[in-house]
Amino acid sequence: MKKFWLIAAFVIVALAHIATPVTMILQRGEILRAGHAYKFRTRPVDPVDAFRGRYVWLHFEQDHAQWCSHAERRPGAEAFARVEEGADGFAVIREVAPEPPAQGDYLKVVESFSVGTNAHFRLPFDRYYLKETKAPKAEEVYREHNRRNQTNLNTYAVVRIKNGDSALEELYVGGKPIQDYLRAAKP
Amino acid sequence: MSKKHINWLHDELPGLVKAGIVPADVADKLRQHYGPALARAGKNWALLIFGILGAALIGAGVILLVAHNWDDLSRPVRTALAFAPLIAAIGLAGWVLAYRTASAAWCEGMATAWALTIGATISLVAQIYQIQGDPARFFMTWILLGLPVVYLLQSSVAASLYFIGATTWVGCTVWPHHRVTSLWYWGLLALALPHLAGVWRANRYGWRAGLTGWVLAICLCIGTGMSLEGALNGAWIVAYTGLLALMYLAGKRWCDAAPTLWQRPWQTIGAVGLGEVALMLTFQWPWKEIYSQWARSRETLASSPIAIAGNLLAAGLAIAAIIAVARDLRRIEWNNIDRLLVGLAPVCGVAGYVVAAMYELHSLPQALFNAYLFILGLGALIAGIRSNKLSQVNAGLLALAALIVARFFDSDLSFLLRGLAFIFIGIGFLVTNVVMLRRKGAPAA
Repeated sequence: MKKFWLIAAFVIVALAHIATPVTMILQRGEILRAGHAYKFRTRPVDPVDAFRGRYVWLHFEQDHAQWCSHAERRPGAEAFARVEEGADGFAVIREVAPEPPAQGDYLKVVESFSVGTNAHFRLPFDRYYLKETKAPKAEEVYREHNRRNQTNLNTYAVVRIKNGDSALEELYVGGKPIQDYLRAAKP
Repeated sequence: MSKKHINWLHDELPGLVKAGIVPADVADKLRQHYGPALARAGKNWALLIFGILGAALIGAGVILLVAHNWDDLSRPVRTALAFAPLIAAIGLAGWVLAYRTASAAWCEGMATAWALTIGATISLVAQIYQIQGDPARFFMTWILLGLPVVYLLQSSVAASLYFIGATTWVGCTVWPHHRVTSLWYWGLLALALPHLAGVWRANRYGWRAGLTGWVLAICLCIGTGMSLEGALNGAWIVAYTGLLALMYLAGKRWCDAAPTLWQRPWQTIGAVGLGEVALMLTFQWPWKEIYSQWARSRETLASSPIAIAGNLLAAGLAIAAIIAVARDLRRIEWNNIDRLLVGLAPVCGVAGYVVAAMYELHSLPQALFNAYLFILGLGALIAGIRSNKLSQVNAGLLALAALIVARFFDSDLSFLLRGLAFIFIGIGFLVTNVVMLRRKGAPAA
């Protein structure tokens, strides 16, 4: 009898262990399939900080917006950023509020700090994972296309958004997916 | 007769009978007397360790080959490869549960592999699918999924990994902008307590109790401060003097007969930690900001449940230690004076904190801990001399020397006086050790 319960517990635990990463994949697949695609323009970075281990640390221009609530702003609290597509085809965050908007797409973000009526936040997609051996080249390429005082319309991340959740689809550098760009740039 | 000699006898007897040196009936009587040949545990362990090493090397080679071609593989293939170690670990763990539950080596080895592959698979899937997430959530998922492995395979190595994981999680929550209270650290640790209780009931001096004891004691020393979310500035003084005293007192009460250092994690970490904390508290910096912060936050303190819980936890640790030593007070004599000395630490911690918070006095709590460390060192020294314990004498001397050295560094005394003081401390160490060794009857040189 003891053996039966032990095996039953083992099966439940094993299923839970396999189900966790499977759920992660399914959730992401659903956002990629049904989510609306937005282009988020990257912004210049401190060259030292761009690459951390096995991912490129992404910085976006849209990291702050108007706080549209009378509620108190609390660093670290969850907030909701309303996302729209601008006239130039890139994503624009119109406002941030403590509640999700009634209509339109929005992102769940974490408030970091406030300046005046602006609330700054961390977007939930700030890493692009890459193979370790591609690190130096990716860092170089990302930096080249994100220099200060330079407007580069070809460097952006495509992110799909559905019900406040997001999935980073691809990072474009010089108008090409970064993997293709690196492959083409290979000596 | 030892296992090794019995096995040797069983190997030798057939040859001796054949050569006519020992009659067959005598050989049978010898076999009956010493019992059957015993399994060669050493060889089994070696076989298992080399088996695991070999498997690990093959695995590492495969990983390197796959990693080299990683980008050229399609996403489904990479996903299958990410799941492979977890599924293999689960399969092998199932086999161990079905056929090898009696083997500690198999259970521990498979539980460790299983617990580690959970994290590996989740992070590989996250990388393949560009799934973002914060480290605190990742560690929480990992350890909560890994906890049942501890109980299924009765693994103390997996339990130790769980404690390390929980402490890493609480370290991640200290990072700004996290949204889960770090006080959950105590809840996470409590989930592994039934395993610890089982280990202690089975054999509190065994390797399992030693391993989990050392890991948990070190994790508590790191995690406690980080878990005191919302607690007042300086609450760590009350918490750590209480926690370390509790560790020492618990070790003394339940593991005092332990023959080796490995079997005494609680009293060792408690004593070393308490000495270090007491030394820190003889400086000005721990006490400096307490008054201003207390004045600023005492109004908001009562309104936040997390702050109340954090401060209560800190106070609770100190109070528990004081109660533990108060219960033993009547039974304390010279040979167990260490319990009283250690029990004084949380009393001094609470008193010092109250003075620093109420009256903006740094010097008084500082003086209190200078006196405390002096009494601790002197008490350990005298008790060690009386009971002829060289380790206790040296611990006492070390505490006194640390106090003197610390005071010499933050005073304006001349180099000559400092130099002379160091020479006298050195002579003190040498003379005491020589005298103690002579008393013990060992050669002094």
